[in-house]
Amino acid sequence: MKAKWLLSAVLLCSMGFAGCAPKVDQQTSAPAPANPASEPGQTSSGGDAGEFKIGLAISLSGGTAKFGEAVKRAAAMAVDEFNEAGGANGQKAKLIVYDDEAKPEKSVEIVQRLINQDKVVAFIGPANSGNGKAHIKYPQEAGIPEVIPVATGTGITTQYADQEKNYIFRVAPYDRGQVETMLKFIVEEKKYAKIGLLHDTTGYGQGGKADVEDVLKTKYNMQLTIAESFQVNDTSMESQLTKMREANVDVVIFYGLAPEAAQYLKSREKLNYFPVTVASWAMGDPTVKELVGDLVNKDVYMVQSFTVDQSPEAAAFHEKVKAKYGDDIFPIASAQGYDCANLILEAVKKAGTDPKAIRDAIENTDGFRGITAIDAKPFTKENHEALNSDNMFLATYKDGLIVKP
Amino acid sequence: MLQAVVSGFILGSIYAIIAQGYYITYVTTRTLNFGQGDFLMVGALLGLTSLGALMTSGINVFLALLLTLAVTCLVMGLLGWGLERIAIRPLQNNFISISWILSTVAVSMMFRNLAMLVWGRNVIPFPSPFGSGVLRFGGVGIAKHEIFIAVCALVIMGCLFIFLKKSLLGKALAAVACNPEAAALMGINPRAMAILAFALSSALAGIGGILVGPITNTAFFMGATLGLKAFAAAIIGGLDNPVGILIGGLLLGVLEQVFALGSSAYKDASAFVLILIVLIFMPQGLFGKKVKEKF
Repeated sequence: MKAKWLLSAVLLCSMGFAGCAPKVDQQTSAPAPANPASEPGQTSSGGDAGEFKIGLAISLSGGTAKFGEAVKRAAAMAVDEFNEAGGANGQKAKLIVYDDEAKPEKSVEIVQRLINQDKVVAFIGPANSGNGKAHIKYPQEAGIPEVIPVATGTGITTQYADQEKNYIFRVAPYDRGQVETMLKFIVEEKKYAKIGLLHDTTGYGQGGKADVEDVLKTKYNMQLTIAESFQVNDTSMESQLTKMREANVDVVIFYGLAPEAAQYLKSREKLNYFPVTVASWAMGDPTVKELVGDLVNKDVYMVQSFTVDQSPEAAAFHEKVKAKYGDDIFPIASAQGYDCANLILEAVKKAGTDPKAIRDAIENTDGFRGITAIDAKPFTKENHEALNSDNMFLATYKDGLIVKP
Repeated sequence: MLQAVVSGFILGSIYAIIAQGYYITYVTTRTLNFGQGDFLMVGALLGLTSLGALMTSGINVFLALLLTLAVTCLVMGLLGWGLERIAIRPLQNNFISISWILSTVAVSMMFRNLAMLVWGRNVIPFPSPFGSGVLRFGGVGIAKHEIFIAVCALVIMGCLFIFLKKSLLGKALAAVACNPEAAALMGINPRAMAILAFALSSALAGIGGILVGPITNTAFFMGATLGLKAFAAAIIGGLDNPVGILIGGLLLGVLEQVFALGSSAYKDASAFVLILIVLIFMPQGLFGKKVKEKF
């Protein structure tokens, strides 16, 4: 009797596993091979010699899916526009999209597939810094240029800076640059002296803390008045905020991701204490606004490279995305993705479809008109960061929209 | 300081509700559901979905909330029944007497992954049905939803005590706990009581999920820490004493918040150091009875 029960339970469990395990797999991996066929970036010209391929390796599922989706839409739009304008020397572009599921091992796999199987001339991605660190050695070795639209980990573009040709470029606010931008705003512009830091205990927050302390010390010869930490999934930040209030800080630097940023804003409301808050770009994640609504509007500044009101082009782009997809799910990611795609497409126009020539052309890009705060000449041989503390800026929420303060 | 204490009480009352679930199954079957936290997560997500559906259909907020609570209790009760049949009963008299620990953990992992597939990996906003307003008493801010939590916790505990101590069914549960063979001879079905205990325990987790959702935001991974903290509360208070569990939960909640005032990095550590101390000096919990088994 007992044995029978045990057996049936085990059977049931294994059936359950057998039932869902392959399904899980299918759900997540099936769209990947199917994707290229159904991409909006594809044109009707077919696979003849008049076509070259651009890859997009980014997370369309997982924690950073929203970034990936926005980049995908914008890149597809850039490719469509390029093809409608006649392409380059009669050659049209085709966008190949794979989902890295926000997992480094998957990212490595699809980047290799893009390079070896699809023979892309260049590619865009990823959204996660960990994925970037895991896969950049493949494009570097194969000589295929990569432009990063979202991942902000500081070291990625400088990993191969000492080699003759560095194939990794970025159009995203890298972490160290964000810290420099924040402190420039706090110390030079607002002249605040008492600075409090609130950071999470993950690698992101710890890295942020190290950067803030380092920049404060070396550049301004200052120190943090108070540094407090919180954990991912913390239910409230009241005690940390209470200590900020007792320390009488002028400004709180918030360094954490969207869900915790939402908790922080809720705790501000609960304590009825609204210190000026300067945050990394994670505060601008639309998730924060979804979670807390109007609470984003009070004295919250975050690093951005794009706001819809920064230029007429930016506003026009925002409207274009909305007209095409009904909604701009993540404006800054859309804008950065669009600029990444256009940098590659412009380079192809100039240099043809040889990846090595494209790399040189991207590095020597001049007179580029981007949607983000990107410069006309974004890169040099030493610097592969298009966005840095000179052109990143602090933006704020006004009536639920991110605008220049 | 006062703010920390108030917030701690609210958090603690949630721990206490979840921990009562451990108590009920422990006293009747000497087993407990280590996946209580994930049952809570399922309850929160179910509650969120049904509350959202009911609110959009235009029903009065309170009616919608009551219906949501009822639906969640029902579904969670069924899940608890299933858990008892699949993961507890077949393994209970197995030669490895602790195999139910692993089986409940396994079930909870399945739930976590299923929830990830159904509701996705993102953190989902759970708007409180009472809005996000904050009431102020002196310098202390309390969200309206937190008052709702405190009231709910009191009502639920009250109902639970009355049920366990006064009602016939509650007494039957206690009888099974005391001596299953004798209870069976008296016409009480111990198996039915075990199912009832697990259904009740899961329903409590579900209610806990709905209560805590608007405070923590909901996501498939939200259960792990809460389940663990509630377990800590149960251990501190004493697994076989419902009043002790209530006090243990409140104590843990307040201590956590007060410790965070000192150093936020050690908040979670403080909770578990407290368990260690309690276990070393009072292994039966602060309010547990010292029992010596006679042979």
